[in-house]
Amino acid sequence: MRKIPGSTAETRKAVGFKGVDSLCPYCGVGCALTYRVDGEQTQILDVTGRDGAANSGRLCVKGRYGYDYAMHAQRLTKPLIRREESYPKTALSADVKGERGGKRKAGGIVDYDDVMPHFREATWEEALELVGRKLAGIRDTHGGDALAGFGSAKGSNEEAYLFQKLVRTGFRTNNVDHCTRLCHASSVAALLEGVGSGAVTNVVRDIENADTALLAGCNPTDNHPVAATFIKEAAEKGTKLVIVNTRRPRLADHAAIYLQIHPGTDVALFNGIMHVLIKEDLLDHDFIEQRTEGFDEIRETVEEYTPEVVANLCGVDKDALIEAARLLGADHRSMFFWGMGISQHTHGTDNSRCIIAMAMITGNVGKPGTGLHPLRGQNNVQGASDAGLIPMVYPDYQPVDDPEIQKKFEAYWNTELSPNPGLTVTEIMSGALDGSIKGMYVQGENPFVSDPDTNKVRKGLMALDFLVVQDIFMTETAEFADVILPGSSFMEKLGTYTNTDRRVQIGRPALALPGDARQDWELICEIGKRMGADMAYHSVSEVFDEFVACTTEYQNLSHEVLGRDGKWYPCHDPANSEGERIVFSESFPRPNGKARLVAARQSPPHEKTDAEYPLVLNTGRMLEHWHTGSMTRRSTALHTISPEAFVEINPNDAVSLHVTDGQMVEVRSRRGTIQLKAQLMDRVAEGSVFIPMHFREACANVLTDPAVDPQGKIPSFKYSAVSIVPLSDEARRAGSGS
Amino acid sequence: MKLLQTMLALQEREGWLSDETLSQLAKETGEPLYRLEGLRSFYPVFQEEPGAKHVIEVCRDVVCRMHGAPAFHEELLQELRQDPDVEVREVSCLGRCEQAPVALVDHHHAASNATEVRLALDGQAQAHNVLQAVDAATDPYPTADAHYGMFKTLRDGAADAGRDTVIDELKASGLRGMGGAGFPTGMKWAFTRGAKGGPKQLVCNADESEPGTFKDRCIMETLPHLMIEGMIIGGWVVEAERGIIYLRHEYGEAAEILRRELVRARELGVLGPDAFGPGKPFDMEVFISPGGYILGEETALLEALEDKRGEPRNKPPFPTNVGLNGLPTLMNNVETFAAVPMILQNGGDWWQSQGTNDCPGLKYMAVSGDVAKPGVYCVPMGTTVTDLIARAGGVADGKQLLAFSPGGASTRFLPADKADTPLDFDAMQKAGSALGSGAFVAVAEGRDLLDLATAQARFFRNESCGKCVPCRVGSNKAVAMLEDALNGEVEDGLAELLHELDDTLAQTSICGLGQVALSPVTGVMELFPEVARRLGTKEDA
Amino acid sequence: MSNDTVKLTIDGQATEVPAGTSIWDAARELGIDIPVLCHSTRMRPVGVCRMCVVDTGARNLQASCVRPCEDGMEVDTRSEKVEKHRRMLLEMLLADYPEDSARDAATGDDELLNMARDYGITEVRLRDGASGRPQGVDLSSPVIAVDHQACILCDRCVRGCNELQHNDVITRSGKGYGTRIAFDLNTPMGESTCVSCGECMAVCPTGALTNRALADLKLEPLGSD
Repeated sequence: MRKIPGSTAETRKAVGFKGVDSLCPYCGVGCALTYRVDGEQTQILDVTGRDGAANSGRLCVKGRYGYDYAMHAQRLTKPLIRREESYPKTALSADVKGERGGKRKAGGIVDYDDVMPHFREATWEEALELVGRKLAGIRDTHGGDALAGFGSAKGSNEEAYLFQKLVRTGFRTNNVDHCTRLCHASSVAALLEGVGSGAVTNVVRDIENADTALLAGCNPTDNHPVAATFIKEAAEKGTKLVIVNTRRPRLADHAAIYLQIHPGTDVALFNGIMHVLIKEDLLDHDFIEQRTEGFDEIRETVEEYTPEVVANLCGVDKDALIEAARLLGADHRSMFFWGMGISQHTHGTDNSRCIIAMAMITGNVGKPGTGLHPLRGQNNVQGASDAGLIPMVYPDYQPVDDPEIQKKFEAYWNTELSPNPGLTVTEIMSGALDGSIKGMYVQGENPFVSDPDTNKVRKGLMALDFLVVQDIFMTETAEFADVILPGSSFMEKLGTYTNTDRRVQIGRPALALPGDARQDWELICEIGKRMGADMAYHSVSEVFDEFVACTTEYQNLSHEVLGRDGKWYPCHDPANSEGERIVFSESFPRPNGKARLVAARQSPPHEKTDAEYPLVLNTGRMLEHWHTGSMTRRSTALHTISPEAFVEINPNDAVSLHVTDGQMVEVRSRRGTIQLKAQLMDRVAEGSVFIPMHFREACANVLTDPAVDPQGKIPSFKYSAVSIVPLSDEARRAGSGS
Repeated sequence: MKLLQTMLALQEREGWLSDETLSQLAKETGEPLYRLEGLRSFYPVFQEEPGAKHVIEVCRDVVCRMHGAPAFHEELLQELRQDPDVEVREVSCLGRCEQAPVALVDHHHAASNATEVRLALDGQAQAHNVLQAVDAATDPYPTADAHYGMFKTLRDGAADAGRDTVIDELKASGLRGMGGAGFPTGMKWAFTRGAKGGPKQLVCNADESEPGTFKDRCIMETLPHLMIEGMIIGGWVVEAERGIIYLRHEYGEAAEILRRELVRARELGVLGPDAFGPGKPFDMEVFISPGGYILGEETALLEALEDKRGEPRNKPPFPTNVGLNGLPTLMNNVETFAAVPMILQNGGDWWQSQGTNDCPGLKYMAVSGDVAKPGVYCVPMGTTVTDLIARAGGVADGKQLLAFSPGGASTRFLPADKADTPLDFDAMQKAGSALGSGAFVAVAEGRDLLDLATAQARFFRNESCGKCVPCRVGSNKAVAMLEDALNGEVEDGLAELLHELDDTLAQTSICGLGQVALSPVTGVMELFPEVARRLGTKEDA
Repeated sequence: MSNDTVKLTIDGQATEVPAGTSIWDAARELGIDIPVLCHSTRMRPVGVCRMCVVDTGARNLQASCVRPCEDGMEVDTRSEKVEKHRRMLLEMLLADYPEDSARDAATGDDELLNMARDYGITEVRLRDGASGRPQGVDLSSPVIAVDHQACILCDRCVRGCNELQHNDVITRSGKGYGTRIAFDLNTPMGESTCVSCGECMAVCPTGALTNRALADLKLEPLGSD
């Protein structure tokens, strides 16, 4: 007979654990989860999904396995000051210098051996005093507008609020921005212009009530994986997906219609759809009449975009285009999702304008199963924007150039404020290069890797008189810093985060801070205090209350009200309501309550392909990695699954390029070159290539065109002209010597 | 249907389903890989490796076993070991028990000895011998021209009342399902007709696969028009638009005959766009099962038709309400459908008069095992076992009868002293067994009943779909212990444990397969004391 | 009584539930937890483990997670008959269960072993099918350890992968006693199209799919603070 197994733990190390209910630190979906941690909170043991509004217990690979970066041995634990002998400032590691073939450690993260000797440890007092003195010095000598700050969409609402308050009241400038500039700035510009609000009108999961969903320029299975599960669920239950993307997303397997358009022809496609909607009278006339303005302009503009013309221009089947229009027509409930394939163009705002117009003329806003939903990238890009990490607006999108608003905030913050809208991320970097920006505070961002045209960014960062970087790791950007402040990871802080659905949820500390690292919010206040700003707070919730009090949208919310599960904003009755899933069912927050329809015409890309650079480069994210890789490339699981950079090339192109699968190639643009492995994939169209943005050693942004959209000031990450040459082993060796 | 049919065509064309083939199929159809793997690995027709040019499938089940199948298999293995073009493998019952032992060469040609196998391999297979039932029920139609007359009469005098009249007539006749469960046919038709939702679906279960069962093959090959007419009438009564004949893949000749008959029916206008009246279409097709006894279970069969792994569903709901693709579905066995036009032509009273008061009608019995003349015998219900054996030429070789299994692998062996039991559903149950699907197997003295009962259990283990725990694990554990016992290794408490396992399988399995899997074994333990002794049953138990 | 509800008694307690409610759910509403291994409230019930069988007076026992309540039903969820069969089902699963369950060792939430302990099962009379782990182990994924021997084919991972996450990777492969779970075309997990969401591991009730990060640890809950 067989004995049943007992517990066999003899070789295992016993660990007592407790659960901390918190959130995932990665994308905008905002999954609720529980960290199991040891008693001393030095170690996250594992992660389990919680029954959150956005995830119902589901997680993706990053949420479930990507937490260990916070416990990485390379965490910064002491304030660092650049050694005197390390001036004049240059990049410190080979990759950041732009040299090829420098010694490269596995994982491709910043080589600490190269970089750390250039810094010395300092006390907090010394470091903070230096930061305060230098920044205040620049302000007092050159004026506040010579300073700028990059806040972070990974930080909490409270940190974002404090950061913009520091810049506005301490630096005395509106030069404050964050990576929303790199992801959805154009979408927000179009939404503010057309709808009067930059947030989504409906939550992802309401797709279950939609007959049709347009998913344009987004790749949810990789970038919003848990949202994608609900999208696929809806598709299985009958929601028709209309997918528009130059690079075939996995979701196309579940689509009713997939339109693989030529890069940069989005406006033409959407105008073509509207042409059919108008021609076949698939419009909601009452909605157009009562709730919108500007329809005549749309009608006139799209007249010339016949299905024949558009099919030819976009490279799609005419009948599929017509069928897509019919599925999106007014007799169906339709939701409109879009991502960075829409926003990251020099005509990104036009792209979003067209999507907004499609939704409006079919009456598909403000009802269940309808709505506008730009899928937000970072866990708190919605909240950071709401909190005012934007150069043109105070918290809650209140314009800085409106004297009434300025007065209101001067009273609220008890100080004088600049009446001039500040500079955006890309403008600030140009300012650094031309000397108009002299000092910068970068908190939790890594522009060296994330911003377009790396060679330009390098020069800009080198030109700064003073740079303070606050981060959890030595980043590529921090190589240019005068002072580096060790901050707190998501796992160590308390704060609120607003997801893509407008759901405000509390993240709670799972880990104790390592070494002498300090809470980010405290450091912002410490710098503020040293620059004469009024920034004394007792708690994070007190900061949240101050933020809430100067907004309309966040009214009635507090840490206490948010509790374990959070609320959607707006929330009029927190005691009895989860908040509003769907907004604008009656009117839009614009002066006359009507949505403004703005017509757009197809415009050519800023950069053109030619014989020398014949391919269109598309950059983006991948499932296992995050942004500049500083977190995910330090996660054992994520790094193991996805260790290296690659460029996706269509197999047919590969034949003419003489490139084989797995071969090293050199990708060249008018701005620089990188070397990486080729992956032959038929999901990229012929004539297009795709490179993920996460890999510093083959940094996609070396290649990208820094041209920006005129309204959103967002760079054109989705369209740069490049060429590809295969590298023989010999050529590669030769190249590494240069 | 479409996906499995595509996979069947690929298997047919390439001889196996490689990963590359399935990856390509996934790309073309948008089906995820896992789904194709689930199907490939479930259905025995699909091969995961390139096979030899020729395949010889030797039946390993009870009737063939009685006729020397293990030795036959061994002989073929020895003889063909050197030939790389030939693969010999054992398979479950092929439905040709009257020719036992039997092997199928290249899926088509039946052979009962090594010489026949060799001839078939050399392309000189004997022509297929259509099995005629002895004393077959009289075809109500004197000539082929008159075929489908009953349906035409119904259709052309058509009124809704006519549909209910058919149901009333079937109820009056007392016709019960001939697939094994014996459910009253009129009631089933009434349920489906009354069920909410539509269009209604119609399926003929022609997947008889239980060892010893081959009577449907005989009906399909000799009276295809009656079965098809029964289906057409069924389709007309429940107002279906299409019917499917779910046929086991080993019945290639039946498939041919049925397809020919469907063509004829279309020509006669009883199938096709106006089959049920102008603009009222009805048609049907033959679906070849990718294999496995479990597909004869009605809900497993439906799963297969939905391109899923053929795993039985939890019931309720029943197919009459939630069947194919969630729609109300009328499903009957071949013999049942074939009886319908006979009954309508001759009247329910006529059917009643054929059997006994308790159990009316005629029954096709597949008789095999130790009888002199194995074959299909059509007998009135209530005929005694003794009489049936006599019709089949008596016990083979003049031996005494030891036992008999009246209705298939799931029905318990009864001792010879029960041979006066009439063949009817209730009487067999009272006697401790069941009429089942009418697969009668006679066992002569000298046979090892424990070996035969174990063979039945082994069949169920082999054919278990694995969906639920009791059947998947219980049948395996029981067979392992029984095989040891046959080798003289009897573990302490074995008998008790077998009874417990049987009880749990019967009580907790999802479908009939698991519920009956060990019944033949506990049956011989209960009814044959020497078997019980061998398994260590305590004397006082 | 409205047409949309049915009245029944469960273990003597009268209740009225919406038509279509499973016995398992109805019992849960009454505070009666019927043991189950394959079912999870996050998933469509499949009724494959059969642990949740109850006595409704029918010819055989009914799996309560899939059996809808019916008017006038009298359900017994813990009669000696029911418990006897549950014990035998547990014995069947344990006969093929490996000596060491990674889930039991790491987090102590191996539902099969915990249920066996609840039922006081200490010995299995059925033949050992686990020694040598004939079903195999798959360590090709960097995050999830697959111990096929500890798989009881509850289909939770299949549903978690295909019906919750819609990642469409896991299936049952094979038939009958030889059935295993498989990834794609029966390729090792780490080489399949698995996106490592971990849902299968999270929903697995046994040591079959476990977190490799916990391979050397034994987690014990601390008192709540």
